[in-house]
Amino acid sequence: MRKRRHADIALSLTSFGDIAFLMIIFFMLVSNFMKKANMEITPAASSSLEKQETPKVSVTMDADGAIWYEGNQCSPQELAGLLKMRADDLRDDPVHIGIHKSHQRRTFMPVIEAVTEAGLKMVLTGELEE
Amino acid sequence: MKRTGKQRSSDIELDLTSFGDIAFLLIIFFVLTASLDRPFGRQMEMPSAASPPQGAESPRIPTINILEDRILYTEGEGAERELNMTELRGELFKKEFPRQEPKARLVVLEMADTVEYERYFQVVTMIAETGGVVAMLSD
Repeated sequence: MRKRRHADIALSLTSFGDIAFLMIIFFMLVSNFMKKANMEITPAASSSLEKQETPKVSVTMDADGAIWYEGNQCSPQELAGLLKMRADDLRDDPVHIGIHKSHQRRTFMPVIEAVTEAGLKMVLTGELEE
Repeated sequence: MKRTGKQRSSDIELDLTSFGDIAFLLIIFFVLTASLDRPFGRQMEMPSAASPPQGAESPRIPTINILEDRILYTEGEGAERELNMTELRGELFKKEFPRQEPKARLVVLEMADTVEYERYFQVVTMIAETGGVVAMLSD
């Protein structure tokens, strides 16, 4: 009989759901939610780079000279204040700094000074030059 | 009528089809938004200094002066030499910074206001790669 046969082949989806939720938890933990998606930046290139850990905190200066801290725009003074507030939390985690390659010293140096003033470690990020 | 335990269990079975659909929609969302790439970079040891660091007058402290179109290198009182990036890397590796005590790992960096970030980035990451500590001179 047709009805009976249909019930015989029902799949148990319990383990399927478990696996799916484990995958969701994994992607939630590793994702950065495209914080840099709306920034225009051409990273500087160097042959002296190595792979770094995923950053806990990142600071970016885009092509227009705007400073982005964790996805929010701020001034160099605000950046220094924000970093100082989190200094205890970030003692062991370096701040990743990405700066558009053609900015001049007077434009980019306040970002680097803000990090050093806060007493934090920093990683300068860029593209690996082959 | 009394039911057997086996029958009761099959009666309360949940339909998990929609649960699986939602879970996979969430997975697709996270796959698309996640950036799993680890970035390339170089960790810097960079003490801030308003004046030349102690020991900068020592005869062996290297000084790198980045100008818009060239890089000048001096060691203590020695003559200033113009170097390209490859020559500079050679000079820095010769210093064997990892074997030196922290004070002897300093490299003094001077830079013109008009120098672009990429040039600065290449020099400071090279100093860090060779084990040197950048001591930046500010105005």
